[in-house]
Amino acid sequence: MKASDITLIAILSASLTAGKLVLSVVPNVEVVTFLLIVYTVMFGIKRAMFATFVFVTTEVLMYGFGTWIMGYYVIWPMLILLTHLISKHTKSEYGFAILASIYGFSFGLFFALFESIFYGISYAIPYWISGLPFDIVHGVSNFIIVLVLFNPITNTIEHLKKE
Amino acid sequence: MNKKVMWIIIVVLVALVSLFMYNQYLAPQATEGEKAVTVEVIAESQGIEKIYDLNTDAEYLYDLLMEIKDDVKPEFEEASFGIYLTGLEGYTADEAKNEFYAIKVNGVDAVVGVKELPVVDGEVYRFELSNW
Repeated sequence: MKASDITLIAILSASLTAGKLVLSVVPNVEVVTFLLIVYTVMFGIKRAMFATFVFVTTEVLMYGFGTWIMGYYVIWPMLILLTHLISKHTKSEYGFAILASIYGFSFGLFFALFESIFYGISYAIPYWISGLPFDIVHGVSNFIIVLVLFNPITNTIEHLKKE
Repeated sequence: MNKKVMWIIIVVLVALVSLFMYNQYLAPQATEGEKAVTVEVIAESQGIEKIYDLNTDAEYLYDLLMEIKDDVKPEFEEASFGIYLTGLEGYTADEAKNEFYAIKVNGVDAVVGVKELPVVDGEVYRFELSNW
């Protein structure tokens, strides 16, 4: 790995943490999904993957270790993998917006299933149902954020890369 | 851009309909009528141990706490996700000491807050000063 890659990964992971913190006041509106999609498309799966692991580990340092953090180690790399697969077929912001919104909608379900490993399935169902309104907000906001910001941001990064 | 605006409007509308359906059919529904419940307030470090046997028509735990607010003196704090309970019986959980009031329904940790927890006949609601 080159020194420039290490620097890039540091900047990418710092922007993920900063993006998350800035929007943490609004429940379930976040830019992490959006940023990870953009990073995977623009910088490749490997760098995005490294940035994610740094980001999730920073979460552990900030919030302490919980069962949910193990979910983070699975769900974000999975998003990068899916983005990578989709980007092979399309670069359209609509494709990524749909991916981001499906991700938002199923976030609660994923964590309900994941946490049920530790607390049993009887915990998972009320957990999922009581979180559904938040999942809806998450899915819709992800869709809008990616649809509106994907092209401007990727164009800017493209432009910066050329300089 | 017009096409995008159209899609955003469609998605927002679908979301609003789903939220409405959720509230209509899936959100925890409270039952009305005479309910006999027990409220326990435990703060061991403060020597607080109160048990109330109550008959109530309150739909949600929050309403029940407000019914007996002169006794239990509930304190709440606003947060982006709603309100949460910070104090009972004149003692406020000290965040600096990682304290909070754990809510248990029949001994099981509640997964929603006091405003979403329906009051059900025969249940025991325990508020226990805990550390996280």
